[in-house]
Amino acid sequence: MTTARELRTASRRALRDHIVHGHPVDPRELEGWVYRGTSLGLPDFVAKLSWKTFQKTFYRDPTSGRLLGWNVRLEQDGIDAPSRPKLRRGRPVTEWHYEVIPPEGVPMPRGFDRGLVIDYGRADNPPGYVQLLKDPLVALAPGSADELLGVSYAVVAGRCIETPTYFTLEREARIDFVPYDEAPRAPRPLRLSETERRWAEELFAAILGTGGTAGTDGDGERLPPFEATDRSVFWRHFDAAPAPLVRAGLRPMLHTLVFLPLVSGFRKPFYKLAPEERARFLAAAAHSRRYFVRQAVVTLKMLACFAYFDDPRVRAPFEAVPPLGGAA
Amino acid sequence: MSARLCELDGRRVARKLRAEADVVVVGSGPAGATVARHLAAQGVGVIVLEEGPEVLPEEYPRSAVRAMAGLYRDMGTTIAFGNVSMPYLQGRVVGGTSVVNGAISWRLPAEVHAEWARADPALGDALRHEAIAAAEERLEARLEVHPTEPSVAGAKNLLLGRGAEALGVAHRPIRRNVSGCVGEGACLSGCPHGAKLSMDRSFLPDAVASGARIFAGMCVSRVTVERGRATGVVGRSAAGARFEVRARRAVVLAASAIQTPCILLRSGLRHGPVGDGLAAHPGVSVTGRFAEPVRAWRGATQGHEVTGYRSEGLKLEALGFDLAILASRLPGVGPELGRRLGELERYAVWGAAVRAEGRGTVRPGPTHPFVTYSLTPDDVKKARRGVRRLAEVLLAAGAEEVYPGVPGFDPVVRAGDRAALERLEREGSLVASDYAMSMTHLFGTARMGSDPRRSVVRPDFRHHATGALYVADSSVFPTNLGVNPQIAIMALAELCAGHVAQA
Repeated sequence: MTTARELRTASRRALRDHIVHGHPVDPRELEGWVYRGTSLGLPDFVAKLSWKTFQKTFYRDPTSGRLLGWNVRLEQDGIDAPSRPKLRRGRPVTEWHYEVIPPEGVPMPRGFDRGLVIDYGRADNPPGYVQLLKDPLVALAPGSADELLGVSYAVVAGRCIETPTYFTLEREARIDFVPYDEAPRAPRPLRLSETERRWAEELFAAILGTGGTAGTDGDGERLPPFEATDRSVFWRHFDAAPAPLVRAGLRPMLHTLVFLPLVSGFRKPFYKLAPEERARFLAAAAHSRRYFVRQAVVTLKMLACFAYFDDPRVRAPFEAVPPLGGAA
Repeated sequence: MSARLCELDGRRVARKLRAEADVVVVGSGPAGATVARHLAAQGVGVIVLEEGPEVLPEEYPRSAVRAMAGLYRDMGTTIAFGNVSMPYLQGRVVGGTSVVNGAISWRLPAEVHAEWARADPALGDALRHEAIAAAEERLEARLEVHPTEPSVAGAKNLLLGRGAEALGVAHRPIRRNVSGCVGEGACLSGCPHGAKLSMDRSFLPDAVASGARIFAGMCVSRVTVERGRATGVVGRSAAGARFEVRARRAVVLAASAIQTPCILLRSGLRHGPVGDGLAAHPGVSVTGRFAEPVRAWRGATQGHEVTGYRSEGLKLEALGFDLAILASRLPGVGPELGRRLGELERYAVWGAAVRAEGRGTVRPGPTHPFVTYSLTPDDVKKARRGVRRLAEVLLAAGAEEVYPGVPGFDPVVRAGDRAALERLEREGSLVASDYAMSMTHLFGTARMGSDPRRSVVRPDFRHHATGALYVADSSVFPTNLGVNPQIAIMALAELCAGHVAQA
């Protein structure tokens, strides 16, 4: 049996042999653990420029059941020094998020399917090469997930390109920090950017027309303005649940409504319009001859209502009406 | 706290799973639950595989966005593309769409069965209407189907009756599978009181009591076939692990008219018009404003219907929505919408289901099915007439204003202006995309028939080309029904189970 420590001096060929002849990994053995990672096989100058040690985590998301994880950057105190996470605003710096999946159906070099696969393309990472990478992971000893070996390869246009970035993982501690306030977000390409989300919220507020003296509930109480409501749950679900075609379709609709005012007499994008100009523009767009524009207004109106009426404070006066049978 | 039914939760199945049963049923909605209950009661070993999670009534979320994210497929954003893009809604939860539907119970109309028999006499002989009716009677007794009581109907339902009465059109309280309904108005988000006798509250517990096993969070990708016989299914758990469930006697697909053809196609079972011939009931709706409070979010979700226009291919229903959906149906944007939100309690939305001739297709995509559906010119005319009929009944019920929502036509029609509605039907648009529509009740993508070239399953529900493989859901229906299909689906599923038991 080979140990992680012994592999520190192994050649790339030997490391590759271990990947191809390694042992399966039981994902349940990984759940809830932090592993200490050590980069292998990199030239010294590359290791100095990047990092030699890091942590990888394995976290079973209770909502989706997916086995997720992320890298934690460590202070480079030395290969055998205790792990000391880098901190930003008091929290460990996490990066390179991933999902751990079985190898079936995953494109990979021949023989790399002995264990599990760390897939960076299935998590919320910034756009870039990281989304092309996958790491097959094998156990160094049969029936034990205490020491693991992995390597990165990239999938580009359906072709698998091996890299020399091998690493060992050694079980270190239970997870005591999860960087997700709520469920992890969907992969970035289908998610609105922060700017787009801000545009969407400005459109939602203008479409709903709440606040000011406009909206009152049944008792004459003023409905809260959209801006004062809690939309976090709405966005969390919207990032994760809808069909990809719908999520992809929202972006052109949003951009249409944001930039259409530029060419329809207002000469400014939506976010620069005054409140009364926004109302005029939206009223015109809602009755546009162009189906796509009308549909964009209808779609954003529905989303605005979903977001607004998710807030318990908005719902409360309406839900105070008891069910007819008396039981609530 | 209600008891959980499921033996396995796919979110916790992280390692390859193998299981075996006499019969594997794919889907736990009305069709799958009925098959499982019937077979389990006869001592057949059954495993039911459901893609969605198990959610108990006390866990149902209150807001629309949370309910749709938790109980519906893709948060209710599934869309059919065609001459008008239409959303179609499907439950993705143990109990299937029965958890999130309006509990409306209609029997298979005799005239629809007669149509089937005329088009395929051998099918008519094998699938006797008397046998279907007998099954429906048994099912309705177990599901306590009865007309909506006025005490829980709420204003939106009572007003629909009032409007139809004033026009002299046939109408009635909707017969629903509920027990102890309090008029919460939350059927479409799952009844928090457990009063709706959806499959998770009726047939699945019956099946489990008889020995059936239910696995939640298990998405079946394909059927395994050896020497021309279905031998089981394979797929992935919600946690990503592969699973294989072997079937000693039969595999029964009951995964809906969208998922069932996708499973067949992914399995390489391309026999017949699989995935073609998608039929549905597209629907239009009209909003009206009343002087008095309606509070459409309270009262039986769908408690009254107008049946007098069925000869026109239309069935009108009161609709009960969550606040968010009701609000989105109000006319206007900006300050106008803000003002109307302040009087939300005065609005009612009623819908018309169209017995359309349109057809569509279902094909499996890389991650999601791709669905097309287009209305025929006659369907668009029916939709236009539906808008007119809805507006007429709203005004007859006392609405001050109605909002047809058809581009190019008066945005508001006020009481006393029936001429405007006649003009709508004469001059209103015949462009399909001018009507905001959604699609319910999907049928026909693995059609039943005696001719193997024109159908996918035989009149005994068995696949024409593959032994031990049955389809039990609304995929097998040769046409749409013009009425809500839950009980008819269950009746045919029970007949299917009878054939499986004898196999």
